[in-house]
Amino acid sequence: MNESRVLVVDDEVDFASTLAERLQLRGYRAEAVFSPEDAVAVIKERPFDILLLDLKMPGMSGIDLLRVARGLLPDVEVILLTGHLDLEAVLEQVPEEHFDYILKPIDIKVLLEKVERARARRTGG
Amino acid sequence: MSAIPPRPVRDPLTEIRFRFLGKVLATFSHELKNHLAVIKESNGLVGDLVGMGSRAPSGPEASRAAVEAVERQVGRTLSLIRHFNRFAHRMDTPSVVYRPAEAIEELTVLIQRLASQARVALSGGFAAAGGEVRGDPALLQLVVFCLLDRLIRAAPPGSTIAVEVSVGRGRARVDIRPDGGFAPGGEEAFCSPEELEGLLDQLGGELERLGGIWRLNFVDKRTPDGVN
Repeated sequence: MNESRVLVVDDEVDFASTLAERLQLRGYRAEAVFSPEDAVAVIKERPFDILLLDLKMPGMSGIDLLRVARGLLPDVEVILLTGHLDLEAVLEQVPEEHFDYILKPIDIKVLLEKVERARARRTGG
Repeated sequence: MSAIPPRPVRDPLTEIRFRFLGKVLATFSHELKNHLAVIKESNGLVGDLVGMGSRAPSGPEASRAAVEAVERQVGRTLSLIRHFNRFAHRMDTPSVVYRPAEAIEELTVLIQRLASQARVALSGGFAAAGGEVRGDPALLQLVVFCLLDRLIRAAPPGSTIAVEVSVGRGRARVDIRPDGGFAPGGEEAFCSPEELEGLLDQLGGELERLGGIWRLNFVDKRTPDGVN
């Protein structure tokens, strides 16, 4: 059983909940929330190993949420979910932060590889 | 290698029409990508559950929910594409008889994501406003977009901007009512005041501020008031 705790944050409810369900089927302790505010509330309540954050959300971008989340969980791994093809502009916004990213619509195999790499970094494996 | 030819110089009001088209296209394609992402994940979940067979924890129910999510999403996507298609055809000719309410409803659907990113809701009573006018519907959409863009940027999160259209006696009117007030910020609006003025001239329109309401009046060009 994979015990990694994964939080999916995306304002597209069907997308986030379905992705969390697919991760649960693969053994991850995954859950979904649909707004940056809910994400912050949940992160304050319990720790996560990996955050999957939509880049464009109402109110607070994934980048802003990444900064807030790192303030609460400094070692958390972050994978940004983005529909943007202009990734360089995104990367330039946060040169100081470490994160991975994947383009939407996502390829689940690619995402799982990234999640596994993130998990390995967390566990030193 | 041959040099890239310089971009042709266009007059400012033509330029802003191109910018508007680019903005709507970018929003539409981004939204479409999100819709496809939902469909792909739901389809993937069904595949996962089928692959697990009897080991799937909540097999038939979860599969049914995923199939319903696909159905829902396809409906949303089709609706968006229909609006976008009508929007594209608004540019076919600059002088047609059209229903302003339909043109404005189309616009509000297509820019819904821009508003929701700012946590602002757009609402409208379009069904009852069935009157027709002659004019350029694409130009009307651009003018109303310029107004909505300003209001969305200045609206407090959680507020609503209501849009109402009425037609009669050779004139038409679009009333825009932000319920959260209007506080112009430092952010640059999509249209400059000069561009907006030029577009209003082309439309044969004028803008009134009535308390919290922004009222756009414009002529039906079938009437003696109209230009063509």
